[in-house]
Amino acid sequence: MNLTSIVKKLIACSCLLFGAAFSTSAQRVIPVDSSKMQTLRIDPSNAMGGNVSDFFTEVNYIPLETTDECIFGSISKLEITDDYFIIFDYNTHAILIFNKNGKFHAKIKSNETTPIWGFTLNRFAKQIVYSRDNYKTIIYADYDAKTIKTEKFLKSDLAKDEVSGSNSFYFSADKALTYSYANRLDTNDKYYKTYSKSLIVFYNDKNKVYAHGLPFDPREADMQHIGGGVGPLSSFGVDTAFFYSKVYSGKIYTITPNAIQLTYKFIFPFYSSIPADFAVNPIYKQKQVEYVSKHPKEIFNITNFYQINNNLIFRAQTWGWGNKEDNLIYNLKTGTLIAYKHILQDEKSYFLPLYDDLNGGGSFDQSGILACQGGYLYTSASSLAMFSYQEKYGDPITKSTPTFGNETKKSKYPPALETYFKKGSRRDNPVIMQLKLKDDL
Amino acid sequence: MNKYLKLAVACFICTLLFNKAEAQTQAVQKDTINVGAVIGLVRDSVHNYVMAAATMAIYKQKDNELVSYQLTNNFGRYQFKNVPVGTPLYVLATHVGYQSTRKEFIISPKTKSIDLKTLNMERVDMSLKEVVIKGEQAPMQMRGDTLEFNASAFKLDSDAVVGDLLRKLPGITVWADGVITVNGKKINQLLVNGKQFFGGDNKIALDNLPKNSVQKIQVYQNKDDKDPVNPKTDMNIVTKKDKQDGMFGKFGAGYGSNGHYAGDGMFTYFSPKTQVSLVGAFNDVNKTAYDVNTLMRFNSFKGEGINDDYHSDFTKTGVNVFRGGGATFSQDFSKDSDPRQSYYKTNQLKGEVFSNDLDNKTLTNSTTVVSLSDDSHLNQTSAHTGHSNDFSLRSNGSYEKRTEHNYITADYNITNSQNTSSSTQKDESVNDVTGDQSQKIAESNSNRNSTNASGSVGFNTNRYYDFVKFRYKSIETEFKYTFNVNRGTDNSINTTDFTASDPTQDQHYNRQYLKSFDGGTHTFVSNLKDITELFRHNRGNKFVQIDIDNTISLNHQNENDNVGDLAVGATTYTPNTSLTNISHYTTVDEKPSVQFVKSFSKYLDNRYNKSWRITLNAQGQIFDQKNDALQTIQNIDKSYSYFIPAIDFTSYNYQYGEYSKNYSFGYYSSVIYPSVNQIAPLTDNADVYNVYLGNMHLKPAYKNDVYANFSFYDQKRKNPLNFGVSLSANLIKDNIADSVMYDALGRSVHRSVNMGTSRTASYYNWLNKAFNFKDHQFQLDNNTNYSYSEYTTSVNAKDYLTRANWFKMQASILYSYKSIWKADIGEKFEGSKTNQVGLSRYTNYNWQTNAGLGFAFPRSVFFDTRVAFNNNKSSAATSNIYYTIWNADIGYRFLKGSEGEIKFSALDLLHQNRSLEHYITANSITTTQANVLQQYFMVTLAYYPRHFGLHGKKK
Repeated sequence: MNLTSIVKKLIACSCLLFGAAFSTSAQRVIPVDSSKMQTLRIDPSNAMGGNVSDFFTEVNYIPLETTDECIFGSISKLEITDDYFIIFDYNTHAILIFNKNGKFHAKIKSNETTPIWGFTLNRFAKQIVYSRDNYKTIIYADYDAKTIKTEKFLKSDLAKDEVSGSNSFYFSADKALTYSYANRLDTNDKYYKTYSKSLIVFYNDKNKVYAHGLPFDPREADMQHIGGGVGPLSSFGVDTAFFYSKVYSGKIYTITPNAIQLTYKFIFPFYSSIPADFAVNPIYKQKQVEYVSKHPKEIFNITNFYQINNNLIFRAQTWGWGNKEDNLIYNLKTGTLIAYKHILQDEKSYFLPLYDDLNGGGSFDQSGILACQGGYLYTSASSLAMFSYQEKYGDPITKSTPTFGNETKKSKYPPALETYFKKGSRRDNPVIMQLKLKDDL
Repeated sequence: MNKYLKLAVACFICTLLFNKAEAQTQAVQKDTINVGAVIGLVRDSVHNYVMAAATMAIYKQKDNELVSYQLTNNFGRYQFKNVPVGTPLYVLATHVGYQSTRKEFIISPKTKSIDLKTLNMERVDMSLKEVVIKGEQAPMQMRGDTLEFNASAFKLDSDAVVGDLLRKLPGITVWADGVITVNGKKINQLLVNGKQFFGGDNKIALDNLPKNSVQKIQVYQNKDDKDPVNPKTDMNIVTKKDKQDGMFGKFGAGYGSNGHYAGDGMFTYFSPKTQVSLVGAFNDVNKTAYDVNTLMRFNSFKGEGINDDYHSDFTKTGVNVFRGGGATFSQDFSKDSDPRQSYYKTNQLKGEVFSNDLDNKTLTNSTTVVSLSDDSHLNQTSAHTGHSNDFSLRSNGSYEKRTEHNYITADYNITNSQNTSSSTQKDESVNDVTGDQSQKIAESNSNRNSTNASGSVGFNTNRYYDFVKFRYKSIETEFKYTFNVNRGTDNSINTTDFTASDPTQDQHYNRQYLKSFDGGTHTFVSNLKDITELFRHNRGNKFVQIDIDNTISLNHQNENDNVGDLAVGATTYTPNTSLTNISHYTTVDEKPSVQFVKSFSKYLDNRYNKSWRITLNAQGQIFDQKNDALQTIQNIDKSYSYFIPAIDFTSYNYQYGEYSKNYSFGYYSSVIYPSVNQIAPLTDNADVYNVYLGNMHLKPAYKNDVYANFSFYDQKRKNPLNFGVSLSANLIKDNIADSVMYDALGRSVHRSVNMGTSRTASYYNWLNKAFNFKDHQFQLDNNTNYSYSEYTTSVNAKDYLTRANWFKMQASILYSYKSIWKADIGEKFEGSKTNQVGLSRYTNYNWQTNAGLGFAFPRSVFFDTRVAFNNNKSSAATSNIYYTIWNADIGYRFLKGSEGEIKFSALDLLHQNRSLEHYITANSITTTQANVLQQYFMVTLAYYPRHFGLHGKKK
């Protein structure tokens, strides 16, 4: 190593140190307000069923157009704007934009070598923010998929107090928040640089962190995380408030630009509760996955958490397979608890299922209720599930209520569904379901 | 021949008629009684939802006989048809987590239908772990992702086995070869209490485990499988708590005409951790087995039937006396018994000891025609009397430990084999043009003893997902060491008398060979898969996967040959200086390779998964060959290096719920190195008719292979069709071929020579399809092989191009009705044709039509018969040769649990069995006839001791 390079490195180091010291001092930590916490005692085994019309005022099936240009696998992220559905698909690594009636509008394709891994929607600027080169550059596109600007981001790994902009939520045109994992505490980790020191991170349009929330508990380092569903941050249709579900805790926080509030604390019956100290007790360290796989009835996480007026919609995640009492709707006012998968299809849903029940619901469990926007809940079903259901039950109305052979009832689909079942096939794009819950459950 | 064919066809038709009649009787019954329909709805009214996948079973009130059952649909509804009217019935609704609910009813013969309206089910306390349901068990139920069949709900004979139970379950097919399918889909693995049962041979569990020791059969899907419509399916047999251990066995002995005898014994013990088996067999009726599992399968409680392989092998030559026996042991050290958790927790030790002794006395007569030129042939006859005894004692074992991150295996195999044989042979040769004649009388006594030990130790690492770092860790590697060492002696004395029409050529030898040998091969394999993964931490597609593989194999072989001749009148053998030899042979075979793999895949959730892979294997081979010998002519020191590349293109197209198609094509190369005995053999003039000379200039032959394979697997649930086609061809440069010189007395001198290029092309296809009509099942099966080869050989210093064709086709239809009737009919054809252009043309064709018929009534009589019509046409014979082998067994099961069996067997009823073999080489055809087992009758008595739940009973 020659002298100049040593000098260069020294300068770089001191700059970094200085920068770090400066930025740390400039950041504030937003305190948690626990004063309004509401304890929710939920027993999923006592969740009720019923008919679609008992709980929903509106159920719409929106088949998405299928052409060679816009064919994709499944919806892993769904954002809804006034005019569009914006979808991310892991199979094709593409961002697809469809009109609200399901007609294809535009698409952002991945290139072969460095695919797109997600996007963030900035509703305020009407921009889709993504990267197609592992965050070396960040691209801002409009709803027509046209690139507005491309900004250089980082050469390699993230520096301290910078965020990549993936999985973020904008609460103004130039400010957003995102989350981090406690496992990134490990400063010796050679793969992940520690760039955060809290579970919630607020950052500006330069991708610089300016505030923190929910600082890491050092005892939670090296925690194993189990994916599935929407979370830990979720948007519930309010522009400046988001829910954060803390893993293994049953705690739901409401995050707003200037405050963090511990809003709900779930308590489940003994048979379905993980140990209270699951996240911090060293005996579970690096064994969380093993534990929950051996205790398939125990709820270890709350995901897909949304709120519409008095109704909370969430998934009480268990490892067990075929759990029908995991997706729940809870009315804060009346205490009514509804098991989403037990809701029986009826005329309101044209006798079509409310979720993708292929593989015993396994496909639905991948993503669950995808979004909550404008008072509606959104999920999706594959065409394979829709057509398999159609084949199995034929005309669902007659098959659902077998009689002795003199039935004449016929289901009447809305025009879009009628065309879909007539002209489409099990190889078509998924169908978006749009559901409006009753307020007074 | 025609007579028997008619007989067999008549039998077959009778079976069908019988079944049809039975079916018709049932149909008549159905028309009057089983005409009712039942509908209803099941709800959990407390929680206000319908019960989907609840089990609804209809029973007769009188005797609790199960009439029909089904699962409720998504709407909680059920609908039964063909239910008896006017009979008091009840429906039982069951669901996991709920109390069973019962409702009694009678369907009015007038309305022929009843709507049971809503049946309410009530929860049981969730904190209670397992609910004991009294009374009737639901025949089947969904428990999470698992479909469970409760064995007690299916009424079968007390001696029924698991196989009988499976045949009763809806959607499950047990195939002739032990394969199980559920809705047309093959069961990936059959487990007993989450573990493999005696080596994982399905038939051993299916034909031995009593139905009454089974609590339930679980069928579940492999969750990791990406295909949502057709993921891999596993089956687990859960035994009753008090029946987790047991023993079963068989002791049988038979005596028959002509003093024939047969005896079999088996004793087996199993518990959740340990499995032990002891087997033994002795007979003189050509029933042989060389491992414990084969004998276990043959001695199974329900092993009889037309598919039973353990019949006398009538194709074996000579008189054979077989004695064999052995033991297996396996111990499971893993703690987890959940089959879905245990794969990565395998920790198992297995061992086997097997000994067999085969005494064979064969008399053969053969005639050979050798074409020397257009108008000259050697007509050779040979009579051989041999008596040999082969004894072998084998012990092998393996240990396997699997964790999420790595996989360790170790195994060993030690075999001691002893062989003694004595034979006399008389050969005569006549040249049909010159009239020259010669004759050789040879006697040989030999004694061979060898011990072979082999073993391997392997270590593999797996790539695994780290839930903390959200990344994959480690790479996939394989390190394996295998060895194979041997040591032994081979002693023999051969006397040869050669006389010829020209007395000056007469030769006499009395030669003793004392040979000892030892040696071994040590192989080290190391594979590093996808090494670029080691340096890659960011996600993103890589350009190409690089694997680095290396295989090095070291071989050494020491041989000490003391050869002596006994001169006429002498009493001691004088050393033969040209054949006595000490040699040390070593080879080093090093194959380094770098594999470049480029994969593309395209998948859309719930639609398809297509992938393409190109593999380029840049492989080299360095081969060192060194021989140090007392006979300096054999001193060889050669070193070769070759580039032996391979390229492969493979594609998978998996259309969920429809079909999967795979195809691959590619090229690979290899080198065939000449052996010391091809380069510089020690010529033994005592083998007068065949003298082998060496060729110091022999070069390695370079082999180029190309191939193309296609296979199609139906993913539809009903009557699936599967088939595959393979094409391959090879071209060998500098092919090592035989150059032979015949003299007028019929003596041949052979030399291996590099002779131009040889070409081979072959075709293979397979196809199977099943049809199910209620309890009737047809299985269709076809295989076709064809190969063509073209090579040059030299006869009497003239080169001849040889074209050889070989064709083999087999097709069969197997019919079965429940587990009672079975019938099959099949056709086999095999033909070969050799044309040595300008010299000879030989053909040989075999046709076999076979038919079988069998039935087994539970707890009483069983019968099976097989007939095979054989037709042979050969250029060595002027007319076709026909013979028919007809076997039949009739037996009776008695004692409690059918543990006793008496059986009368009649084999080769028509006394027509014969051994006839045609062997074709480039310029000769040999027809061999030998003594064979022929017609015999035998009475066999057998006892099957069976006890299950040894520990349960003590309590």
